[in-house]
Amino acid sequence: MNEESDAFIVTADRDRCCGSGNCASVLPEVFTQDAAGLVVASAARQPARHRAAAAETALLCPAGAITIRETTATGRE
Amino acid sequence: MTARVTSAATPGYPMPRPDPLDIPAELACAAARGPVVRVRLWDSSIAWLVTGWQQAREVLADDRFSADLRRPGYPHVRPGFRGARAAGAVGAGAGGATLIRMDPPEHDQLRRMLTGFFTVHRIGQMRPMIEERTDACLDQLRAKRPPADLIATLAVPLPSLVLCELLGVPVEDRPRFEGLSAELVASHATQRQLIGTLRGLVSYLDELIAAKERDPGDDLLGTLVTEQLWSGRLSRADLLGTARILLTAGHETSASMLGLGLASLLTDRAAWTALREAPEGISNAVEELLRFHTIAQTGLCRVATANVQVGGQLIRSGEGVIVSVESANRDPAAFPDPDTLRLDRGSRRHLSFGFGIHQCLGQALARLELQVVLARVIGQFPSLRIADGQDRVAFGHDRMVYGVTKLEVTW
Repeated sequence: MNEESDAFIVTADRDRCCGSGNCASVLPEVFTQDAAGLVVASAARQPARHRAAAAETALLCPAGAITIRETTATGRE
Repeated sequence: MTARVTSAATPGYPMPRPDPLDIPAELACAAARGPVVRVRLWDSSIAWLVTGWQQAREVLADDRFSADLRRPGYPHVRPGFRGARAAGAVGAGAGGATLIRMDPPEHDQLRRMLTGFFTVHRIGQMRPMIEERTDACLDQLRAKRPPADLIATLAVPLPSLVLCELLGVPVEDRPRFEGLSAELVASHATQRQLIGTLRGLVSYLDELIAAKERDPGDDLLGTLVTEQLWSGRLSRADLLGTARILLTAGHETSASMLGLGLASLLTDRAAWTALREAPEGISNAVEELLRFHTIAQTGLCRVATANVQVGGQLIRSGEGVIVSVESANRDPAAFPDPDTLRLDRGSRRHLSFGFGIHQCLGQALARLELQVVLARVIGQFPSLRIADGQDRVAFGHDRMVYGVTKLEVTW
């Protein structure tokens, strides 16, 4: 099993975002806040080691703005 | 024959805290009846009380539950509150509401003008200033002979000093608005007194904003003047209302949580020692203290604008809903062994900052203040303890926000 087959993508809905910053606190490798405080999510495929924290950010987000999408084993989009 | 709901069957809300370092015991009884139950308020009106963690999140994240206190059916939890909230129209902008009581779309438009000041990164840059202010307060503590009151010397002034820096309030104006904001949350005050206090606070803020219009500066209020007021995106009245809510929401809350955190650690020597020996655990410790103590003691109030099923109950349009954050924070489904303070629990899932679009704007700042102050007290005063004798510790049972009002210590 390699890293690519365990990868996933996060998406963040900036229209829903209320700028709480929970995601940027919990997983700063993937989420930051722009100058207005709204979420900026990395578009890159994320490795397995970020999966638990990413799921936690989706649960913690007060606006329900974060979704996780598993990518396929072949990894090609 | 239908059953009548008697006053004995419907518990009253809010409930007292017989153990001042814990949440009301009666809440557990209410929660045992179900995650959504009926309660009776001071004026005999009935409202829904949400005690489950899952259900609390559902209600707070659902736009069909309005935060607008002017709507019929909005639950007013204490006698002084109806007056205070009606008086909240004093300096609250043309719409009559401040951020915390607004609904979308007005709420979202206003909140987005503020979120940039409260990002994790920007608040993190305030760490050196907060450390310096904390050390200044601790120097004051050292200068006093024990016993000294940690509340008056540290818990109350520190968040006020930080807020002054953030908002651009001159230091010489602090005593005036510190006094006013403390009076504001004393819910035993009469309606007339509350209106008077609000007028005084709003009057001061009005002067401060006028000073910013003459000479803006790059603090929060100055920036709101130059970027939002002068561009016409924000009315003078809404700017004033926003300044008001930032002060009242950012001072007493942090002061209360600092006091409770300190009192809690001082009465739990094992926790104090554990943090002293492993100071890197401060972040987890702060989250657990936030969960366990939950300063919001009158609930997060909403009124339904549609019929909504929550926790097996049908909440009808126009009915009042009170989310009991303190109860949700003790839900065993979310927090195993919930009534035990476990500083290494490592959970951010508590609802002490609320949930949904109104979740506390200042939470990064609140967390940072707690982390800095508690770590520095433990580090600089390792032998700190509550002073011997009677009446060394007092609690604020009558305020909208629960906290410690006196904490006399020796070292």
